[in-house]
Amino acid sequence: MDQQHKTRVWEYWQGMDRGDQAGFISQALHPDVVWHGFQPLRHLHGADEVWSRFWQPLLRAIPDLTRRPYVFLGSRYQDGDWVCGTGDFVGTFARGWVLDRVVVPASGTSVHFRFGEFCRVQEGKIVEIRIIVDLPDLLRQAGIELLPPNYGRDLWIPGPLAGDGLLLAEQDAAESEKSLGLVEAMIFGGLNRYDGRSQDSQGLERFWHPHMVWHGPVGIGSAYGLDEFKRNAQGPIVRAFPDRKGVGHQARIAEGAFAASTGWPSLAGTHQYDFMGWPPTGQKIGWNIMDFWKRDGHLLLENWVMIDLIGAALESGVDLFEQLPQKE
Amino acid sequence: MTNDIHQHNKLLLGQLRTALYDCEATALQRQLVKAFAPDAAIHLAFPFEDLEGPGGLYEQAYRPLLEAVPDLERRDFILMAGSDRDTNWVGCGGNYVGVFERPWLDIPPTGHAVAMRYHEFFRIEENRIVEMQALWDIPQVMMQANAWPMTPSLGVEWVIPGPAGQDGILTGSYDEAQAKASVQLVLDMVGGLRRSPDGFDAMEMERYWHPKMNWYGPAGIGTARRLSGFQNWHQFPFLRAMPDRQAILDNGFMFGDGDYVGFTAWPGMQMTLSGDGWLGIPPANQSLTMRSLDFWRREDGLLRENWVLVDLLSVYDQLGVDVFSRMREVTHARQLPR
Repeated sequence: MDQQHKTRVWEYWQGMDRGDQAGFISQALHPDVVWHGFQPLRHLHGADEVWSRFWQPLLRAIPDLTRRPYVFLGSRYQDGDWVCGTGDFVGTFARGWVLDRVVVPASGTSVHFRFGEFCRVQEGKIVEIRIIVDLPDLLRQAGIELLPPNYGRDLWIPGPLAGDGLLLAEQDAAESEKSLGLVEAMIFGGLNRYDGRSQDSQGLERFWHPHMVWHGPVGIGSAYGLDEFKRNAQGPIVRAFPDRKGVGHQARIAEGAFAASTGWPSLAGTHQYDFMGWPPTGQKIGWNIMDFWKRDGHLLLENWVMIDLIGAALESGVDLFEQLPQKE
Repeated sequence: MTNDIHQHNKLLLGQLRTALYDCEATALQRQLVKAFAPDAAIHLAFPFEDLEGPGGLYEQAYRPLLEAVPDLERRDFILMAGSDRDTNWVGCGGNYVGVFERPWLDIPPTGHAVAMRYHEFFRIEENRIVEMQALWDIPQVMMQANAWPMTPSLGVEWVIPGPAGQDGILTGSYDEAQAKASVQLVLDMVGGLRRSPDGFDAMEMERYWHPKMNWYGPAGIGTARRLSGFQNWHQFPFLRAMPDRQAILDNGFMFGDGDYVGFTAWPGMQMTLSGDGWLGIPPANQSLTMRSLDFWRREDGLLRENWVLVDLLSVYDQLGVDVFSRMREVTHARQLPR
């Protein structure tokens, strides 16, 4: 992949606090860019719409918005060049964020909330974007609890242990291959092998470092070590959706010791047992998810996960936004 | 003479109420055995459900509660009586209070005073309690222990007050006409509720409710003030989710006493959870029944206060959600080693 693609996305991410934001965005995005977001802003088409319906309302709400990525990588998946990363949006939440049909009330304080973003680049322009932000986390900072309490822990999620997640330069291809191979083995030879009864059937310890850290969204929380991961993060999901499977990705890439994937949906199954206090519906669900991994030797050490949980709730028939002020 | 039966029944429960106020184990057991018929039907909130006579009530419910809250005290703020369909009832509403010293139902103790609202209805025949229908607001205790694992309330959560006039302990002689007028007002309001299929406005709730009404819902729903608050935080989400809800008429008992009205039923409503919006619960078209035990207070011909307890833990149980299991997970670090 052309390393210039990474530069293009990096500039797009870092340009928000540099004045002419509208001009900056139109320069980075292809006029016909396809933008896939999170609930309630699912699909936008064209740079103008991405500006007027996503960036402009967001920058009006948080005028000093900055992105603080801590993972950043890029590579080719099938016939697309993808650059992706995760980190925080940080800024002062000065005015309500008009987000499609709802308004997220301003906190009047500084806020931080996570994003994960995948950009597909073609001939120097971003032609496709997939982005998830941790909206329940932002809402909580604005005083609105949308979800029941986490099983996992709450914390301001950190970047990689070694602080080495921003891969601005080209990485060793052999290392990248190892990372991708490990992640694929873990998904297809581990996660997908759940027998519907015991989490042991997945044999996750073959792929994960015993001191692994799972950085999850508000609603699920974070876990340190495989035991907490199985208990607080993964256990409730596999129990509620015993037939759930990874069903494909729009992108699955690796560079150096880092790997990333996103799927819309990434996970599909049947809601057969309660999850987060939601009773079983017997309905098929599909969740949009992003994963970012850090490999350490032959094991995975860290995993940053974004899930559109508000979208997931809708899949189970619950509109969490009913609690929010609706746009006039 | 027929009216004096209600005064008589309230007096009859005097010793039991005193024993519950003191909550001294031996005296309480003695009074339970004295007040209840040995084969009385006892229905208590989930997870207690049906208990076997006064002995079962003590062993299954009061003994563990007393172990957790050794200085337990039961404080009525409503005591009323009346009859419906040839049955005589006494209804009590109030708070259990005490220091929460040891785990109860796996709820981690707080070491602080805790309050748990109760609505308890007793059916009396020949000077004995032959049936009890009672809800204890267990989620309220979970919340005080920071252990409520379910969706946050739309209303406000606080310790529910007794009647504004502090006049809920009705011990005077029974006024049939006044009681009847109170019941009629509630029946008229319920008639309005039945018009909900024609739209929420068709219910004309403002005809029945005082502009400064208070609606005291169960923990998990919370308290709402004014008709707008009641409708925003409880009534509309409830009706949207369960538009076909209807009373199980054969189960309900409604009676008045002064300006107060009591209602008990086990269960009193059946419905299908077919729409979104209630407690963040996915609408999966499950059929369920609901236990709602209520008190109303009339003022100037309008309903000014309404104490409502709904067995939400039973609702979750019927829907296939184990609230206690979730609670143990979110309080994992505070659970004592087993």
